Amino acid sequence: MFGALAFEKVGRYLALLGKKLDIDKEKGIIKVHEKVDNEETVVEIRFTRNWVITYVKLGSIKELPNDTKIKVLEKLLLLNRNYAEVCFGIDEEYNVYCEEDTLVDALTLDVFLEEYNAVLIAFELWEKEIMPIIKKS
Amino acid sequence: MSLPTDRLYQRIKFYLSLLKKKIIYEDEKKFIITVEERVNNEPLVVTVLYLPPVWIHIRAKLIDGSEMEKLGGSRYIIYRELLKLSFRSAEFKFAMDDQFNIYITEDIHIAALTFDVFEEEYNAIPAAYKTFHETIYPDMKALAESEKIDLT
Repeated sequence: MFGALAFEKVGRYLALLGKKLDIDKEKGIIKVHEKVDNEETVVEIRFTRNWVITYVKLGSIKELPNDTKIKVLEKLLLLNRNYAEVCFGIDEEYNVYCEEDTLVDALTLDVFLEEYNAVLIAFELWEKEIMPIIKKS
Repeated sequence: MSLPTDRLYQRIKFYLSLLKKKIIYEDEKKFIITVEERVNNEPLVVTVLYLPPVWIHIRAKLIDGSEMEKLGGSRYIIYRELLKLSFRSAEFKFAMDDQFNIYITEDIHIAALTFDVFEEEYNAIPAAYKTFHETIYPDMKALAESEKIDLT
């Protein structure tokens, strides 16, 4: 069962922050519609017993030529180093995500906001640092 | 009201003492503490840094840059597997510097600094190291062998 208390808490925080939300109580998923530098994106929040998982899907690198893939992967790891709050990862299908995990025990508005804003920073970094590499290929 | 930096530093030291960690170096002025861990009987150096005003950074070197350079173009397989592992596992974060050194890193915002959070984040470092050595390192070794690269 997902963390029901954390789910309620995060829903309240997002409402207080005036975010545009889609809430799926059955699945325990909250989707937040965001606009960063005029680009629209959706931040998703899932809940497990111990974790609040906030993430954004940034794009796919599956179809890129290998040399571009290498440059992108390298850059993602460099950005992970240079930005304390940002954590990039990829799934088996080469979709790139930024995912932030908050321990339920540490869930306060301030901590949640820090993690939430990190995925928006990651979205900006994707647009500014990664997309130029992809467009060059 | 935020805590003074020296009190935060002392709090981190207190948490490490509760966890019975072996501190092998510290610099109170630079807010650096180095701890020796043992994972699968191998030493692992973990560095805990307080980066004012808001971050506590914990890291351990996973792969030396010289090893990565030896792999040449094949190193992308390691990048890919690290980023996949990062995505699959809550709290595993891998990062690279300009010299291709790969690190396991964790960052705690001071607003979240409690013993429970610190313990969770700290323990993610040896856990990630262990997982890397069990799941990715054998492939890295095989890759090096197939390309006749001598990894130390």
